[in-house]
Amino acid sequence: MESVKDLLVEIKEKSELIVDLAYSALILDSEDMAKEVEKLEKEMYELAYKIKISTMLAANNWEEAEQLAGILQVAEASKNLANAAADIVYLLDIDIAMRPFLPSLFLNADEKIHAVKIYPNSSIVDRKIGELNIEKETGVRVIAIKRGRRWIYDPEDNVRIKADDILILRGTEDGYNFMERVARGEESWD
Amino acid sequence: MLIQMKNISELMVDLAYSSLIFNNKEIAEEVKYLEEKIDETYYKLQEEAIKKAIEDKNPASAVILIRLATSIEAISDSAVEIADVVLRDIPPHPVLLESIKESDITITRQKVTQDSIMVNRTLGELNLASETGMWVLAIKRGDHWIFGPTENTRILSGDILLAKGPIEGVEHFKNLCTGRDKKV
Repeated sequence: MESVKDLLVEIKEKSELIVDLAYSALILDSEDMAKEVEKLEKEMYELAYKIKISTMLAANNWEEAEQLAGILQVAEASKNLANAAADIVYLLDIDIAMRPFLPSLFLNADEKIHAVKIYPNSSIVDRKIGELNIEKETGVRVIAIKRGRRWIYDPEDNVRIKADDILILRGTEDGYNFMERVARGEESWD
Repeated sequence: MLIQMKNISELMVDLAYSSLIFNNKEIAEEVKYLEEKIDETYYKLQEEAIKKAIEDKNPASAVILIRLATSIEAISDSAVEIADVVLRDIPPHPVLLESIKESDITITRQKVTQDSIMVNRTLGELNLASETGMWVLAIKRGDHWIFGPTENTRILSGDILLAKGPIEGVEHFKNLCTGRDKKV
């Protein structure tokens, strides 16, 4: 059952990411991000399928099967959530002239999504995301980085922040305001 | 209304995982209750969007809003599906609990003791989410629950806080609750 646990961790982490990215794609009007959401949806479908197979192999009797059924249910729920997130980004296929209000729709939500550009004089240039511990220190999570024309989604701890990166952040308004000052080099991280 | 739906749906997903990790039926019931709130808002939103479309003689915005609300409603349904595991009379499989504990955003609970600096201060004053990365999802006070507390919710001694955040933030959060750490 060890492998099922790892698969469940992966599908849970992807569930959070896919919803964040789906809303971000709308707010930033980003086709690239929408594509990533679709890719994640496929990966989550595959994960849910693997979880189901491994779970079914583990049942030896009625009692075990009953407990394992809960795992199947969580896998199915994650799959449905992925599907809903992908439906959100399909809204970007609608002619842009018909949806001018989309990016501003969630401006007043509890957890906000923002993009900040890192200036060369910022104190976090060349530092690792894990070393900075951004989420714990500021309450905002880096859900993606745009570097030149390419994207890094859900960056790992060892990813270094570079000048001119655009960070996509999700979290509190205070945390974002702080990150913006740090990004512009107006305030030091330390 | 859409923002309200988004906020509630996110709380529902977090509470659904919380109900699993603590095998807690009260939290699972709250997820079901919130689903009713979502549905009510969803129907109201559809009605108003369509009314406005007729007035404006333009259906485009209504279609977009309703499609978005439909997706949010589907997300909240998946939260109910997860919470439903707890409402059966068998404890959730241990693998489910471990998987939530080990994912990079985790859920924890801690009792607030008398000498904690949180006592008698509001969540807004403490600025907990920005300072520690931990979001308080619910508070158990005596026999009752406060789900989705706001900035104005005051923390009292004896409260049990349920919070979500990065694994790295858990220890500091627990120490703040028990009074071991005096600075947010």
